[in-house]
Amino acid sequence: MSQTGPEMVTLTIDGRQVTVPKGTPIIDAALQLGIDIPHYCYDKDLSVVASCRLCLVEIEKVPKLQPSCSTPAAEGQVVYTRSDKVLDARRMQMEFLLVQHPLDCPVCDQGGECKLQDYSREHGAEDTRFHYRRRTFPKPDIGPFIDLERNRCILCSRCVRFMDEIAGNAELVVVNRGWKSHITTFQDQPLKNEFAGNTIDLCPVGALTSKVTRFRTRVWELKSKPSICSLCSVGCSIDLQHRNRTREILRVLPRLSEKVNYRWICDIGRFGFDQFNSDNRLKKPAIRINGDLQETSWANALGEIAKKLKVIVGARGGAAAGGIIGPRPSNETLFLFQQFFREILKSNNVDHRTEFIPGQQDDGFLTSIALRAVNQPFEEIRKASAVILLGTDLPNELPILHLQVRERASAGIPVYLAHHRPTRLDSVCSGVWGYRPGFETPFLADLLKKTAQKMESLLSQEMEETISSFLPGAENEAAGVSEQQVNELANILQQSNGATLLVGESMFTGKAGPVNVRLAAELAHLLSSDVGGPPPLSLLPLHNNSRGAADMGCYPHRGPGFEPIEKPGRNTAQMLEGCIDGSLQALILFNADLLNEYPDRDLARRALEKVPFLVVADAYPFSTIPYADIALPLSTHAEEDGTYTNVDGRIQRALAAVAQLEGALTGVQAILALGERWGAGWRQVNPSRIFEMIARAVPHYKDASWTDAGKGRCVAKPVNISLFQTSLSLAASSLASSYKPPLPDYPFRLVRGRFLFDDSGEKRFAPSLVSRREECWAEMHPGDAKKIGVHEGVMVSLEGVLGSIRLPARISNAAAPGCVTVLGRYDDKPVNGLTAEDQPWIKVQL
Amino acid sequence: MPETLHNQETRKIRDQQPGKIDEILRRFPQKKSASIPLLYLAWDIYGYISPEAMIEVAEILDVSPAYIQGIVSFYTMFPLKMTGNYHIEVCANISCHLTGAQEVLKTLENRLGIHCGERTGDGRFSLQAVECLAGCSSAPCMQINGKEYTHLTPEKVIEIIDSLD
Amino acid sequence: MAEETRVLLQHIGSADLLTVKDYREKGGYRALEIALKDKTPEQIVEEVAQSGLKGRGGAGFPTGMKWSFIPKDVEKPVYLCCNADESEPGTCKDRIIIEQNPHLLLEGILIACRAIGSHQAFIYIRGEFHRGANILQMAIEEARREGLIGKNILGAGFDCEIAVYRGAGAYICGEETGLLTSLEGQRGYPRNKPPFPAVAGLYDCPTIINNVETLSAVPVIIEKGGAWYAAYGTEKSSGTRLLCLSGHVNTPGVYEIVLGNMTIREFIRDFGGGVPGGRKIKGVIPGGSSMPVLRDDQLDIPLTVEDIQKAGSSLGSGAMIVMDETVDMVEIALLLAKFYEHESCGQCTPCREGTHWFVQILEAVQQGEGRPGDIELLLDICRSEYTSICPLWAAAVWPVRAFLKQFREEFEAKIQPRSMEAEAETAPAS
Repeated sequence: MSQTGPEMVTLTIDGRQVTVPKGTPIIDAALQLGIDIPHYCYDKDLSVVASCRLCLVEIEKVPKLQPSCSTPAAEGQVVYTRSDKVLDARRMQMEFLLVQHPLDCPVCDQGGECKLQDYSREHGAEDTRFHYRRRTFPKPDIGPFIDLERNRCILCSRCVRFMDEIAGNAELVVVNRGWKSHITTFQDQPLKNEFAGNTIDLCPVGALTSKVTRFRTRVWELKSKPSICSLCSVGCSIDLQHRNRTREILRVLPRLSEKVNYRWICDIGRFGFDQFNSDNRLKKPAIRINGDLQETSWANALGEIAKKLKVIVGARGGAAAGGIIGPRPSNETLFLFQQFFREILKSNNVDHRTEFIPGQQDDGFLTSIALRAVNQPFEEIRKASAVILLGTDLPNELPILHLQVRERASAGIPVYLAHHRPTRLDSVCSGVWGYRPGFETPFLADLLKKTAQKMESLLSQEMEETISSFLPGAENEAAGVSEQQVNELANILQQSNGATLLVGESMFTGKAGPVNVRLAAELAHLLSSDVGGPPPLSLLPLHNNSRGAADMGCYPHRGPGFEPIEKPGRNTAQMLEGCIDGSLQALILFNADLLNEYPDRDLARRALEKVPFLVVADAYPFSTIPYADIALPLSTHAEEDGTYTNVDGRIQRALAAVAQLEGALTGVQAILALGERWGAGWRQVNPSRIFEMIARAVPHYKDASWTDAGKGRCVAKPVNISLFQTSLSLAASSLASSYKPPLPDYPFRLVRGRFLFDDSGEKRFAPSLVSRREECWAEMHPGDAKKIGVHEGVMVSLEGVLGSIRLPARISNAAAPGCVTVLGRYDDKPVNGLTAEDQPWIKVQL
Repeated sequence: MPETLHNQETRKIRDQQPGKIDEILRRFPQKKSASIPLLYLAWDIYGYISPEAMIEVAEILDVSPAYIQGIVSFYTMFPLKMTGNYHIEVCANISCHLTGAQEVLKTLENRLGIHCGERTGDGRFSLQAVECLAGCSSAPCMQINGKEYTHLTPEKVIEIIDSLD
Repeated sequence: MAEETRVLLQHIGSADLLTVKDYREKGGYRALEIALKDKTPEQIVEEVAQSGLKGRGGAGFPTGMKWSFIPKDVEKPVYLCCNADESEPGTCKDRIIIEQNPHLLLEGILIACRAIGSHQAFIYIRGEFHRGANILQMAIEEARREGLIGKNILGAGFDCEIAVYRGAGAYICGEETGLLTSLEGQRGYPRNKPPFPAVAGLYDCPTIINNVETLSAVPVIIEKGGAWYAAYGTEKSSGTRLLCLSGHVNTPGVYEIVLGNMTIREFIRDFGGGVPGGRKIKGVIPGGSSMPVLRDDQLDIPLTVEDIQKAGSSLGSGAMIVMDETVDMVEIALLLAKFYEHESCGQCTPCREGTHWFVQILEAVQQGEGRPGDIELLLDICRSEYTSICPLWAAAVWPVRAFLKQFREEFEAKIQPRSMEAEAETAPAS
């Protein structure tokens, strides 16, 4: 097949020729010549409405002026963008737009980057010919993030089109007609969509501005530093902007990143920056003296840590010390952390898995590495013929990936979704399937079996046996999916050659993770158009450096680059058990909000209470601090240079945007300084040198460089480790307890999931996010609610064997019968304190 | 989308006219086209276009309630508050204006004791000045609940009003 | 004395035409039979082109030519939309056909659908026409029962559906692209052209939009031939026209005439029975509220499309509004400006802002608070008439400009005295 490029046309604009693909709007063709035709409503990513009429141009042989945004370039066209007729029309449109516009530039946050100001200076008149009362509209409160000042609006409708066409929720609309037209939400209710903040960037005037930044600065005072958002594994490119004369971060803007977030970011990333300005920080190291944490110097704190660790390790060996690091800090910090344990303390008790208890040391994610899954969701969905989402609620988990999937769906790529509860992506999916929460494995097993049968593919005997061990008779019913539904999905999969599978944490974490990933990878193989190639399967870990933590070897049994460790240490669960049984004498928690994150809060609390020596290092006073013997104040993400590896394996560098808080050290500085106490021979190296060490130690990072990472161009290579073995041995027997009926007194299964607007992690240190957060609720099926007499909104008590919480009930058909779903993490509603992970049974009482 | 689902107790159209919804949706190749016909139906059932009516129509069409509000506010016939049992719409445009529409309007305002855009306290009448009703050759004209009255004079409108039960 | 030439209104008033049977007795649906059985779609288009029939909604585009713009061999469905949104102030002709001879319209629609290869027509009728919508709905249901709508019409193997769609109070939906967006269930925002509806119209499919009167002329053209129809009227305006006469005349009404046989003044005298009280005429709007007003001394020109155009106005939608010597022309200019302000969809800048600005200035002038220079300012704003998406802004500009031009002295009279006072009032105290 011969490749033919697009048909090209040559036209003349202001006397100069330009050749562009046919169909290019004149306004874009002009831009190629450096001619910037003024415009308000046109935006290349939105539908074209040609309503502002500012971009009118004169075209030879066409009697009327034409909008250059909606008129395609044509062969031989002769266009004038600055003829008298054009300039006159432009001046008139500017006058029309300004007649009703308030003259409040001095207090308008758009000032300095306002298109109305810019074009007025360039094309407007000096004087007004308008002598009447200006139109005014009531000012609604549309939520804590966005300020809507209708009087400044010029009705370009960019915001309306963005919400409808890209964010997928037409929450902003134009109401009324003619001069009474204005932008509103339904009945002036607050905006809910998590991408709404992008309308601020799109608004060419001061109608939509940030409430979080409002009145705190003028834009010309702001200095920008390129950074990477730290709030999820997408790793959006952003600019952190701070005022020159203070260390206050005052604005976050998306930074163009073609392969990741493009030009959009979510509201959590955009409006959460006040976490970096929070006064609620750990500011000085503290040491427990006579039961109280008291401020001390870094030298003293580090000296004390070294002294204690040397004693413990000296007496009992490295195995008596352990370290848990959250999946959040930079690759450099993560790398040094495990080096510190392995090289200095001679301990392999290192783990970053704070949120789940792996079924075996090689958890679901490692299984996917072993199976050589591509693990590049962004790259994959761009080229796949169909997208299959399993066990993920993308809108609540990875907002920008959600946006990209939505974009693929509107481009006509079929998206299929199977999850245990409805998601906001369902409406754009070509097919949606639900299964009972907790029954991921039987569902996948059944789906794989049926798909293989339809494709007449033979599965390995081991696989066949595993599948049948999960299909004991009435398996479909147990999984809550009918035979017919699974057949339907299998039929679709059978015809989905070239599809890609994205698997969410509800499937790949936990004990069933490895098995589920095996099943999903097998399914992916069946659909792959590349026979013998890697399975088109991507897991979706959620934290900003989940991938980095894995690559850096923060595992008890695998070092940097997944290199096996001869004598594996303990994983998180085993370390916590060790704290309780006394076999672990010292624990370092580094950037890990363990009490809120660990699935068994009770166990975690007992471990922290019991361990003789606990060091907690973090930027914020999480609930682990009161248990610490020594607390170390760390810098925030905004104060540190570092690289982070996103869900696609893209290694991206963030620059420190502001000076470090006095008294705090970056993770790298803290670990280096600690290492010095052993005379480790680590010179005071900077992060770029550590990155060089990483590139040498991690084979699939070997081509990565500090410079390229700064340009967002660095992607980790596929992992190629031949020693990897995973087995299905865990199959039926070890998972069987999950499918047993509930305990007699605890009839409901507790189902948990992510919620974007909760107060997990750093979110609770950003006041704007706290004001936007939605309160926690317990979702129940109407049938169950009726049985126990629960009504919508009534407070119910959820009781498990380990604890209870009270939450308002929400009655929804979306809930599976026999289940109570609680989404999100709330500091004051410790839903992880109710049950042990493999006994998720609770009762509900009024 | 359970977390944004409106927990609306009443869904009057669905309860009262389920068949009609399907009948309307079937008329058009694209669902959204049914918005105006459904709003007429909602008007009929809810008595006016209340926020709840907009939410229900939005749910039927799988669009946002805001989208429906945008439509409702564009088309001036849709009432955003309760109208009277008799909703009087008087043409005030050019041909009627030339032939005495203002006197007709004033007479009605005086008789009913309300201004244009208002409803009488007992809820029986509401009065609205509207654009051209295409009754120009029998001007001035008005409609009461959609029924047309032509060649109006102040005397004649009083007679008409009084004859309504 | 000039007389009517009744073609479309032939039986109206004298016979009941609401049922298929009544309509057939008067020769109805014969043309459909001819169109389906004796003519190819191309021949129908040709016949209509030959008739010289032009759009009766106001713009006057040749109907046959419009139909020929439908791309050949399209894969998408083709739609016909009948524009029954009759809303131009002064215009009240289409509703006579709708309410009194609905099958004439349906027959015209069916023939047009055959000609352009459409199997689905929509009649977009303005929401205020409650009665008309009901009559059409009943007529459609009866026609369907009689095998005139639906599958295999008249056994000729042609399928066609007609659906009534009620608007809900928006003048802009009479603009053809505004009609389409409204029919798609959106705010009735007009669209930029190109693309023209014949290429990408309703649901992005090829679409023809024709006015009620236009479509109603089609059956007679098919039955008697394009040449027969073209023999009536003038070169630029063949056939008969329905003219709506309203305002200050003794016998207002809708009259069907052949253009070229009388002057405007004769038309007002012979059909309108003159002005009440024998008063003098001050001005006449010859083609619906958007068209420039003519002064009394311009009324002795022939009532033709060409001559009215020469006089600086247009026959537009055929609505003639007569204003006698008692009329305050500033008040009328303001009234019309308010109408366009109310009906501007608000989508594009000049119309949204301009219509409101017009009202603000004219209101001040009318209240004696005009400022010197207001007339020049109004005229300057008028210069942007062709910068909007659709013709509504021009339709708002034309009356303002025409009233200013034709009756400038009335505006000046209201501005002058006040402005002197105003200046005195605002002069700084020394």
